[in-house]
Amino acid sequence: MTAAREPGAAGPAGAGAGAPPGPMIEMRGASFAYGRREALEDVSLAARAGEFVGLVGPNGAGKSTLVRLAAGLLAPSRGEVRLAGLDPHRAPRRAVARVCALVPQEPRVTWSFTVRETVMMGRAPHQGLLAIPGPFDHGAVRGALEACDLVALADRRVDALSGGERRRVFFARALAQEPRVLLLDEPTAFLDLGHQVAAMRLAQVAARGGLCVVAVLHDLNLAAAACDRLVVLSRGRVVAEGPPAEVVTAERVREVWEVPVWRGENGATGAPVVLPALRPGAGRDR
Amino acid sequence: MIHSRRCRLVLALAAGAGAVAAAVALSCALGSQPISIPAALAGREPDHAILLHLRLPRAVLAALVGLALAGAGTALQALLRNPLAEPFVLGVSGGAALGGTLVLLAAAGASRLAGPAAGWIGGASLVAGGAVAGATASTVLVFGLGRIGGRLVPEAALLVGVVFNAFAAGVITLLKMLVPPEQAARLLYWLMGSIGYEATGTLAVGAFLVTGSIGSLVALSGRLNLLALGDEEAAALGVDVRRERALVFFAASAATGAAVALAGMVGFVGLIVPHLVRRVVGPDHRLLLPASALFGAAFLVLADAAARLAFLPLGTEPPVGALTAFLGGPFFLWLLRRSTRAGEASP
Amino acid sequence: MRLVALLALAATAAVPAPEVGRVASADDLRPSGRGASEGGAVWVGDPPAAPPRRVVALAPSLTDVVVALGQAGRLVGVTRYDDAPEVARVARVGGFLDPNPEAVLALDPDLVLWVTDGGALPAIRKLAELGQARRARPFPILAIPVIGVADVYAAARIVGGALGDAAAGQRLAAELSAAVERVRARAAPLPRRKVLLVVGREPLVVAGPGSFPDALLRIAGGVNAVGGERPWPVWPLEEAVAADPDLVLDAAVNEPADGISRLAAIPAVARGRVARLRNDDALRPGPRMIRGLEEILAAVHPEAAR
Repeated sequence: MTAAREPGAAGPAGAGAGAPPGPMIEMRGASFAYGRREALEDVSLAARAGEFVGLVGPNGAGKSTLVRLAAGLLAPSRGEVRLAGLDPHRAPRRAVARVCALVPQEPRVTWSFTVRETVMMGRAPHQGLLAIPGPFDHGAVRGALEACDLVALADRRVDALSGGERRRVFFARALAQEPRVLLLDEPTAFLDLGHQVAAMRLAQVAARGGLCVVAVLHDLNLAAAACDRLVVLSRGRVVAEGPPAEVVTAERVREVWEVPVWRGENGATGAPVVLPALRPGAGRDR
Repeated sequence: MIHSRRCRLVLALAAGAGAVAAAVALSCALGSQPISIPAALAGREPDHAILLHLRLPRAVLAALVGLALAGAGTALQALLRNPLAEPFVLGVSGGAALGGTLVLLAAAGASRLAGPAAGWIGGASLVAGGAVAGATASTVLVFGLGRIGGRLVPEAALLVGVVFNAFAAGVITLLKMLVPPEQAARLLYWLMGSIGYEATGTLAVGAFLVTGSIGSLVALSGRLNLLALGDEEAAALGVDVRRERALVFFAASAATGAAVALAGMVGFVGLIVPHLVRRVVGPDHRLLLPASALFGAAFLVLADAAARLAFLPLGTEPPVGALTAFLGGPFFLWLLRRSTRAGEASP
Repeated sequence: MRLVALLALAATAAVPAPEVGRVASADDLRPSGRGASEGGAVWVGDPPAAPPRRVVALAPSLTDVVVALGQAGRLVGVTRYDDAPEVARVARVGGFLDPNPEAVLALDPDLVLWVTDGGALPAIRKLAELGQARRARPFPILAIPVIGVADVYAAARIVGGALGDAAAGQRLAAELSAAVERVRARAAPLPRRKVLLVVGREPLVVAGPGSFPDALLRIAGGVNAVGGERPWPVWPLEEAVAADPDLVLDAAVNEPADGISRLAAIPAVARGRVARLRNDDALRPGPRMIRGLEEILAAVHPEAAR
């Protein structure tokens, strides 16, 4: 199932006409093991177009594995994975890449391309062998650069940018793919607060534009503030799912992250907020 | 935007072609015998024969070998995401030399049994075929063994390549003892890498293989940009990583096999040239690969001319592989220092 | 003694000159395994119509033949290994394994003499191709495989014929043959001595069966300590010690004489039974082999030396 191309579309391409009903990502009983180590067990979930889903959980819970399963980079040892109706592992990579874009955790910067060239690489699934850009490609790249506020940096070399700027570049590359599904693996890691918020805003805008956005997030508060829905993973299993207000409770956090917290609400937005039970000066005298 | 990229491509290719032409012209003009080019072109002997039948084919041979090695080196660097990769260092040349040696050995053995009629076994096409097969086998080996935890690790692959090279050289040295003394001298020149005087038929086979394989690599150069990002990212961008990587491997092996069949193990061309060209042309392989190949051709033609002239007073010619190793060894060490100092392998 | 020489002379005179074959193109030029005395010599291109005036010799042994025929004046090019005083002024065209086609072409030769050998084959093929392609004055290559002693006689005859003086070639062949037979006759009644002929010391490279010095050794009444099939084997020192030759011939003429003491594990060396060859005459399959042969005879059978 290929995305319906809307000529001259600026910004993240919407699902538009021809969007399939039903979830964009669907997993039923999916499991995956690295050798003998079970990373994911019996995971079932669904994510729809226009949703911003946050995947949260402690380290090693299997969040990155889940994202890779969804993208078709891994094959489930059991169960089923569907991406926009395709089996992402079996389907031709080109077809999958036209529908789904993945922004990895630490994209490697080996050779020094410019921002524009990097974002243009996102058009690869729509281009021929020699990747000669056509008018649609230029339009998509322009839209992605605008959406990520990169127009001023377009001709700078990527390895000369700061970490936050670089993240935006790879986000723009994913947007240039004109996908229906956007998978983000820890988009806020190592970023300062300002850039974290900016990244979350971009994800939200993409979801508003009709994409199905799934992001692996380690900051529970940020996830609770920005996402429409949260999926909590622990030791390879889904232990909770739903709107942040329901999912983020003190008991749940203590159970999954094994840490006592105070849970409150953001007065301005109503989003849940958790704070660890730490006090300055604690532990000094025993 | 469009104009600038196309302009850059045209400019790079024109500069490369110009460099090759200039190098070939220089190589034809210089040599052990002073000749006059106008007289040669007018048909005066021996100038005519020396220019057109000795120096020109030799320069063309050097250009083909340089084209192949620089192109293969660029592709291998993209695949391994490491500027230290090139056919010689990765053991691909060693495998090619081993493959070709085995064919020559078979030819020698068959001649002994079946008489001179079986000499065709040692003919150009079969030796080239043996070299390509050897190159492919060693590529498979190096990239298969250079994995840690299922992932291709460039440093591991380089190590395996270096060791395999030593292995191949050792086997060839052993085989050298089994062949008649006159073949042994030839094997030695092969081991060192030298541009000689090959028959037109051999040149034709070589040209066919080289242009075919480098042409394939140029066609795949857009993919190389994506593969250089990493396996997962390339896959996420729609590249069938396994298949494309195999195609690039095979093309690079074929190019290396052809180069080794023509001139033996000439090393470091695929290391020095792409690195220098990348600094000028940039990392886009659609520009870099053809430009590297062309400048590699020019480089080797000039190196061969330099090798010939430097030893003129001694009345002999050193193998060009010795000169490229002389230049390339320190260059490799300098690159190594730079990359380890930078912490990450990026030019 | 004279009788033997006369018989030898008669014998060689009665033998017809061996056939020199022809090959159509340079691509067919390759070692056939047959020596010159068995018809292994070939012309690439047409033999010169008139006696050639500008001859290039690509092997020192062939230079020696030309010089021995008294035709040194016709040589215009020799290898850089040539040390005959008669050719001291002649241009050098490269080495034995790496002749320089450019240099040969520049000398405008009308005949190129070559010892058939696999090492320089590609360069020679190229030269043959060019020699035939040259419209105005094509030149042929005469490829002579000189492997054994009989091939040296054949070479003398063939080169003599090529230079247009077949009679001189026959005479030279007869002289060489007679000299060799003389040595053979002197050595015949003497006891066989086991000899090891050393060409390289580290690693120990010796002349084995099938090599040229081995043939000379046998003529001079020696028995080669080295067995097997390889003409120039790299021999383990232990085998040399176990073989216990009566005499060690030191033919490593480019290395200092006292270096042979490094092989002192061999009893003969320890006992001082080492004879050093003065030069490489015994290793060159050409007219100089006579001098080398006599030297070997003197070393192996000092009692026969007079």
